[in-house]
Amino acid sequence: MKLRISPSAARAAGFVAFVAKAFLDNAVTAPSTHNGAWLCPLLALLPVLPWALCADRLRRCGRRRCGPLYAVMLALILLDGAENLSAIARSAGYLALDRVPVALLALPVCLALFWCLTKNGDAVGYAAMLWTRLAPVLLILVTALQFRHLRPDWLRPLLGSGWRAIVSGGVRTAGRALPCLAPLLLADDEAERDGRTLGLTVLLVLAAALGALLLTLHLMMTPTPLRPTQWVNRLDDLLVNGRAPLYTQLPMISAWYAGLLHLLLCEGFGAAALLQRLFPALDGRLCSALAVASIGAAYALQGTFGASDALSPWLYVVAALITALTALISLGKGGRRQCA
Amino acid sequence: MRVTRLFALAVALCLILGGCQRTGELENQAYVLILGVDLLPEGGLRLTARVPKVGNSAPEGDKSGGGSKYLTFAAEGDGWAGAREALERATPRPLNLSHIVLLVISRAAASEDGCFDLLRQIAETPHLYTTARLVVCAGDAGEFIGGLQTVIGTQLSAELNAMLNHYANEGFIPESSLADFYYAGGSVYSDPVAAYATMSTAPRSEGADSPEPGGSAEAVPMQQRYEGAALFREGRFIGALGPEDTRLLGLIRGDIGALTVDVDGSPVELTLQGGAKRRVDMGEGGALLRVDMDFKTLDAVMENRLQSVSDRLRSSVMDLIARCQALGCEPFGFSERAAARYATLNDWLSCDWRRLYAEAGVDIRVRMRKL
Amino acid sequence: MDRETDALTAGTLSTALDDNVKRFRAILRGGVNSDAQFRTLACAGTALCAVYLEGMADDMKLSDFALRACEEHDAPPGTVIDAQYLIERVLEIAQCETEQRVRQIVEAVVSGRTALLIDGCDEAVLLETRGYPARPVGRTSNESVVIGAQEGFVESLRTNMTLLRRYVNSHRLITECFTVGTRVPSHVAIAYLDGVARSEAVNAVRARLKRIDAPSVQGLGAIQQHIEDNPWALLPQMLQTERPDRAASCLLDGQVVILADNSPCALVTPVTLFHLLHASDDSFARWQYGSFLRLIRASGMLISVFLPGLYIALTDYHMHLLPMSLLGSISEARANVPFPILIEILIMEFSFYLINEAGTRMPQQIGSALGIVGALILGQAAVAASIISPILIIIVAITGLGNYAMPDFGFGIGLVICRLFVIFCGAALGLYGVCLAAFCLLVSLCGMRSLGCPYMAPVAPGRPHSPDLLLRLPVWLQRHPLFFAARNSWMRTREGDGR
Repeated sequence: MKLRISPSAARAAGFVAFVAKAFLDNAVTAPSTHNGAWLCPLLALLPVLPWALCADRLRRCGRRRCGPLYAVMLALILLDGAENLSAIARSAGYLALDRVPVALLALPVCLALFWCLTKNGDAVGYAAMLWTRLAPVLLILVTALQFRHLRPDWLRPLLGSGWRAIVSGGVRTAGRALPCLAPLLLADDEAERDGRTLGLTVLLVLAAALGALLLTLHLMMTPTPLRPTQWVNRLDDLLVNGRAPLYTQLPMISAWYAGLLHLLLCEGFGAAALLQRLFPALDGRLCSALAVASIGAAYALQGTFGASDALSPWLYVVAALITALTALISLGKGGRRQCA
Repeated sequence: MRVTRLFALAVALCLILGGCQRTGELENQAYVLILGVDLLPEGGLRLTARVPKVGNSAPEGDKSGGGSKYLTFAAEGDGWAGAREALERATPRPLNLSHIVLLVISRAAASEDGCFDLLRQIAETPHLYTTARLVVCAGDAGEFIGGLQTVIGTQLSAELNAMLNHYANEGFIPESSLADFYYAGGSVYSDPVAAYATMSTAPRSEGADSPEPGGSAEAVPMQQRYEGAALFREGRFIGALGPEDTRLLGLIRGDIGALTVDVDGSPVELTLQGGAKRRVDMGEGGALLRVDMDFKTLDAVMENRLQSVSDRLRSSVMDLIARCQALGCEPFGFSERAAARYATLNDWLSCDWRRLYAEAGVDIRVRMRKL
Repeated sequence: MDRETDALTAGTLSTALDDNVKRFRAILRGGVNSDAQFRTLACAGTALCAVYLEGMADDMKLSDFALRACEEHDAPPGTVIDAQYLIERVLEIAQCETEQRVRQIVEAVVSGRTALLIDGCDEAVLLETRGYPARPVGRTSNESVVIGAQEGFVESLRTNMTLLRRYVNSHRLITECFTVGTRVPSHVAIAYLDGVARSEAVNAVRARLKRIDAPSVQGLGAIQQHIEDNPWALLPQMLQTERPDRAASCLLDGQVVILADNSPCALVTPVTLFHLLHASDDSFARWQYGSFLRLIRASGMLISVFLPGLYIALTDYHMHLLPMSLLGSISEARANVPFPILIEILIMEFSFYLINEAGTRMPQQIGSALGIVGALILGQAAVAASIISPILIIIVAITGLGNYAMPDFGFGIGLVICRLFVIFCGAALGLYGVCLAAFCLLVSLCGMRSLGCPYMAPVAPGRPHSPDLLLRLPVWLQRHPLFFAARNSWMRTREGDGR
């Protein structure tokens, strides 16, 4: 089985994953920017957009020399995928299954991920397209239920922890969002005949704007805390913040799980497809199994949650450098001619 | 095919292992509806929990105590964790804290320095969701809870929710849950508030049902009265507001949008247009707290009384703010306005808002129109 | 069987009538097979033999329009009586054709036609004399509608093709006939609108039918299983319909319809998930009613799949999401029930579908009693005996109703199996399990294809389409042909047409 994804499916999957990751990262995982968190996805756009355009061009014109880039992206995905897997498992543990070891809670997700990856890339992208239709309904419902309690006052001071923290947050968000955009590098024009999709620039701008909007709404739900809070308390703040009646939390919990699953699925497909690009002899199902196993192993070895935090500002830098080098080499050596 | 079988086996294992931990059937759990927290003289805590019976509803017409639909359990321990463990041991079913409607803390416990930490521990307890209303009661929380009964409805949770929502809508108590307290108390902004309740022994009002026709009215042992706001500074209870002040507080905070005032013996409804506009002006000489309120009324009684009523209202609001300033408590939301003037959190935190607030001038403008 | 029979049926006719008759007697087991009839006659001095199966061929048609015509025919002396002569000058039956190949002649005779063997001619005349008893066109049994056409397909392939022609009155409607089954052939036809259906789709259907390598294929159900894209998937990738109006509407959308002899339904391909939710009366009714009914059906589908799983997840793991009053009611109801909620649900689901199945198989005379027994006595008795809680009866009843709202029977059964999966996931992992199950189902649906077309199109992937998916907006807004249709389909509305 050859792992393929059409450009429209890749863009849809990347869009959904980018929004989910930007939100997860700035709202729950590492909200060091506090009130300024909404600026991070917008700032992240500045480095991410050129990378995405470069990756798209490489995909169309200079695929043959992308081996090192694929390897770097694969490593980034494993790192980030482990974190996302941890987020899902911990969410499940927090919401109901607190007596089950968190490691065991990751197993159903891994199996589901493997199952979904065997459906190939278009299924991943089409599921993301459907999610873009369903998610607004859920989010509007959630916002409507919480509307009375949203306080714009809590957005101020607008810069939160300051410009440094915001810029650092933007770069970190960019670095963590790159693995979500791996399908852009892997899309196959031949896999689609009648594809309709927004332009890449428009799509990424929309994704960043949507991430910023969601973060803004989240920031209006609770006031900025004086002391640092734990991951589980931030999740509690998001899902069960005590404002609306408890039974109205169902749409929020569903949206949360679905967003994380789409994020993990997008990265999982990226990992499997990159593996197949690096080792073309491997079957697609085997690559899917290896990708899932690798993410699981990375999760198991991760140790404390957020161990990759120190690396994250550098993730983008590394990936961007490799991409730029690859682009220069590929397009410089007649690659442009292939696109003529 | 072999891969499929392995996959199916793995899925089955997941399902089985995942379901190994069972929370217990829902009919076998003790759902705590009301939780009371008292401070013991020797320093520990006493928790009192009110739990509904399941599968043993009192038959209709049974007014005897033996047919009560609710049970009360109490236990003592060191701190929240110890007291909770003791309560688990005292209760014959697994305790389920997910449906607490009312969290009552005694005034004595709320006045301690460790009050916010205690309530934070309660709020951060797994599966204890922070939608419960927080009430500070004047006396013993355990006694307060023990006296709670259904009056109009048949379910205590629904009765309490309906009653407290009604009081909050009318402004008798502030709109405040444990979540509001937890987030506001730990935030960089205003101080939290909670509802304040007292207990009294009062004769039953005439016209109420009595067991014997023509019989004398009996005194009800305890009546809970929710009629005020509990003020906190840095998470510690420092005083209470009466009913009128609580309504003014609600008006300024935006919890209510109307007020009923007494004008020459007639109740007149004043509707606030567009909410109370709060502003904080920072200058060289300090801060100036501004509140602008525009009221409208339809009542004919107000025809020549607009100015006098607005003056009276203005002076009440100024008095309220002054008292809170003296107490060092800022429940009005001025700090959110003041924070808007700073670019970063560090700038805001370093401006010493508490001192600025305590020394701030107050400018209240009240305008009234009769439609 | 039969190398001997294979050898006999191979090759072509000889010119000697006796040899041919002997050959056919051997093939059709003339002495043993009482249906096989060999009627000798003469036409203008030339010996003929009519070979037919009694019961399959219409005796009256054969006698009146073939045998009598032959026997009463006077030909000038020296006239060579061959197959062509008989067709042009003698026979009075509308459809006749000549055939030399023995295998084809045998298949024709077995299907009800009559083969007229001619002495001195190596061609036989095949006469259309089919007249076996067949059910008349009547109401549909499984696809009832409130308003709209009430006719349904029948077992006769010819009648079904005729029904389609009545609804699609166009010379561009093409019906191609095939046989499938290497040993016992069955007659199959594909119908499509030339210029509207994509040639790739038609070619794909043709190729898949020709690729069927089974000795016998009985009915459209078996054909569907042979040719569908994902045979392991839970949901069908082709639409089975009993309604000619539905099939006709699919033809106009560029889909291909497959009909088979002895199958009172049609298969439509390619289809999407949305097609399986559509019913004929959506189009007959005004757009407001059609849209409302579709939303009800879509809600029914979601309820059918997720309600029991959600119920078990919320009551076992997420009690905080239930209001206390509801939680109290459920607790009171379950106080004396000895089983866990999962076992309760499985008992109810099993009982529901057992009653369902029994009702389908039970003779009509006592069928009505089952409704009373099943609905009232079993349900009420189970509650009174505290085997199940009353609220679960409501849950299962609503779930069942949601299932029965599905127009396609196979789709409904597929949803039941999906529901079981969601129930087990909810029981094991709570809302986490339900979300995982829903996610897996969603991705599976997105990965399915029907004749190569994505199952969730035109939503995912996005394709231009008329507002006729979940909501059925007014017909004058429906300007886009379905994306199944050919790019230059002549069914496209011209610019400026309509409101």
